[in-house]
Amino acid sequence: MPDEDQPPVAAVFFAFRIMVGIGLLTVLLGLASLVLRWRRRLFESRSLLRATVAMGPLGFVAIVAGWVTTEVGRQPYTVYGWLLTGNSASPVDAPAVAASLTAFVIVYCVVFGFGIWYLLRMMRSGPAATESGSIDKPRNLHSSFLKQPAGKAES
Amino acid sequence: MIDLPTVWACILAFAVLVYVVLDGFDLGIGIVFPLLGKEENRASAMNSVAPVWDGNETWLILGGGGLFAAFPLAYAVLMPALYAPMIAMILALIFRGVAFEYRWRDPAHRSFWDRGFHLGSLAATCSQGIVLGTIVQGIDVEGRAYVGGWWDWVSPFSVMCGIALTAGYGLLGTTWLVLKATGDLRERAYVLARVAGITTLVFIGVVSLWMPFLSPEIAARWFTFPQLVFVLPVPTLTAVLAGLLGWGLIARRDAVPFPASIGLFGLCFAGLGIGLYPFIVPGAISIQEAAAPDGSLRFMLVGALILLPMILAYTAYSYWIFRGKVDPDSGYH
Repeated sequence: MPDEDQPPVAAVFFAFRIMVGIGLLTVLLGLASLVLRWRRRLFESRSLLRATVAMGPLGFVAIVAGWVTTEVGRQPYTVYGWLLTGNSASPVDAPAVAASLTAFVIVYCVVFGFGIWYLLRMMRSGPAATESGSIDKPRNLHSSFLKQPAGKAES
Repeated sequence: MIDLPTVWACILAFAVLVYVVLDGFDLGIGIVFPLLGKEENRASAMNSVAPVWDGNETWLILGGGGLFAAFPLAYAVLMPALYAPMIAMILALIFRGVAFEYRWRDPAHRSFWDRGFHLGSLAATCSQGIVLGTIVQGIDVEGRAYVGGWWDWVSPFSVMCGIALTAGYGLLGTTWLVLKATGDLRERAYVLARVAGITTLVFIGVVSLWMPFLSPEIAARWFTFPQLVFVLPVPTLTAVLAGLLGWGLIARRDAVPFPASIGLFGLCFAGLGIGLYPFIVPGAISIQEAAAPDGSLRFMLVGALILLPMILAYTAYSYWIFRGKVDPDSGYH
């Protein structure tokens, strides 16, 4: 393959390995949990619980790495072998693209910033002690609010 | 005459109309949100649409995705022309969408998210009106590409369409509240619906008189003799439904104004179709010219014919489950 038809190899190389590596770690965590469940120690093993918490954000990392793999990996094409990225761009002026990108970054920062804050706050407060249902039935965030009157969900 | 592109144009027109009517009323609630008064009213209004609003927006995806798949040329020509209002609409919809969840999670910032809900709804509606106005008045096309700039959408007609659609969605939102709400919220909704109704009817008149001046072809459709007979039912029915809406709002029949408003939107949509057919990019590209190859259209039609009835069925089911007045004391959240 001629050089100009190749994607930036380093980005694809590492992104792919990060994605697959995290995938394998996830499988490993699943197997470890299974073994501990067998030995009836799943909810007691501190190290496994810590590892599970640590693995939490890695899912997002794997998704982004996978996305980098496909998007960078198919360069310089949009449709592999048929349509070059340069030829597939819309006739939109550069300032328009810059303005929309800036707007998206700002809106995403606000929305995700608040979202992550709420998520962490919910995790800190933990499952409600009054929640009915067994341990097999995880707490449904919406259903707990269904029973309360509108506008009083926060109390 | 019924070829595959025409079938797909009908499917897309249907998706867009359903989107406009369904998301119209929940955007409308965002538009009048600051005028609803106390927190109980706001909570009730939000809860009246909370179970259905995100389902309503799936029709926008069908409209946009369908345009991309079935009429790629129209998509490629229209989207660059509509870049700014489209991006504004998407960002506004993100903001207003998360407000549904966040306002309950975070009472300390509730006024911030309420403002986000209101301004997001307003901006999304204005953008949609501007998009419609820009498409109707025509864009600069050479060959198979848009050749205008990214501010071409600014014109008196498109801005007027943005304001007109705000009034129209406001009407859908307030008549929905008339249908669903009780007590003080219902009283306020009646007052707001009367204002929105008069404003909407004035704008329907203005757009109807303005459109023929945009192009002689549109004028010919409406004002020459043989066609006149076929298009006359549209203004006649509009007058009938306007009367019905007025009666429902004055005689306080809760179930009348909302269906009458939907009917008015349907007729406006039919009027647009009469003015624009067979163009998908007015004055430049016809439905047939913009269509994907028949093989693609046939392939997608199979999926559409299976999925559309399913979507319609579960949509109808969810509205049926949440039918009747909203109980102010029991929230969706």
